[in-house]
Amino acid sequence: MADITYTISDLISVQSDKKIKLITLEGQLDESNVDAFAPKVYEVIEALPENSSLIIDFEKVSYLNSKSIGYISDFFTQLQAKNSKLILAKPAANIRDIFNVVGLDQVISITQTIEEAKSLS
Amino acid sequence: MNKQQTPNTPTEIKIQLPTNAYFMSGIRDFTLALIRNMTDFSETWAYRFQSVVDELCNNAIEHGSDKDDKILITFLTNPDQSIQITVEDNGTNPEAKTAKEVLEVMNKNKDKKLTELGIRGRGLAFIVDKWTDKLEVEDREGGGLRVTVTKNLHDPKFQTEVNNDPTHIILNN
Repeated sequence: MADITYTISDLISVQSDKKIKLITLEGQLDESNVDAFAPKVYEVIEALPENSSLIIDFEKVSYLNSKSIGYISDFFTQLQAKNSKLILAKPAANIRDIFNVVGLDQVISITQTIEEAKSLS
Repeated sequence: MNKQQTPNTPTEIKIQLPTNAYFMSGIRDFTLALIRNMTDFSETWAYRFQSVVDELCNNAIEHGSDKDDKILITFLTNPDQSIQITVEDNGTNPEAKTAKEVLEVMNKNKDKKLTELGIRGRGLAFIVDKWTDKLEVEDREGGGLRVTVTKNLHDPKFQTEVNNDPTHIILNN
């Protein structure tokens, strides 16, 4: 079974009135664990006020499947409904390749650093 | 095993897998090692095939099979030429689809925007279809589906006769 661990933290925004949450992931997201992981992110989104940002750090993610992409797309839709942003940060080349083949890069901001993600928040 | 020890003739490897996603991380590791060690595909393609195999198996497990069933994965490596992967299920899931139905759903999903799709529907329509040269879905005699994908090492689209015309660039995969 694939393992995924995550930490949730607050980032300080350049614009002081904006709330930025950072979810840092480590491991693999696949059919065996993504359905259990996704509700944690929905809880974070639910608790965020309007006009916030959620950054997901993918640096230590070595695999994700198409259902994970489905959830990311849904996180984006839910955040948009709250005038908020989703930014995907620091994906490895193989993860970026998956984002690109499904067209996620056409819809959601993807950055190489957390600082860059913060500047887009 | 290094590439010098790999056979020069086609090699077929079959793996029978219980219909439980628990085992998929092991199959992904195996796929990555197989592509790296037994083919001339690049590292990028090793990771892409890891995704292709994972998506095909997940479909067979989730949509084609009941609990406590098995699926069969066949890897056929043809050195310097291609890799072919076949995933077969037994169609024991009461909601298992026919080959025609699977292809219809896949073609519909291809035309949808990312945010128009639900949580599912991207595996076959995007990852598998875009990262393979040939995708065949067949109904198996006795029930279930056989999905076969092939990726050629030298994509025929980019093959052209060498010439010395400096105004023409030859693209290699």
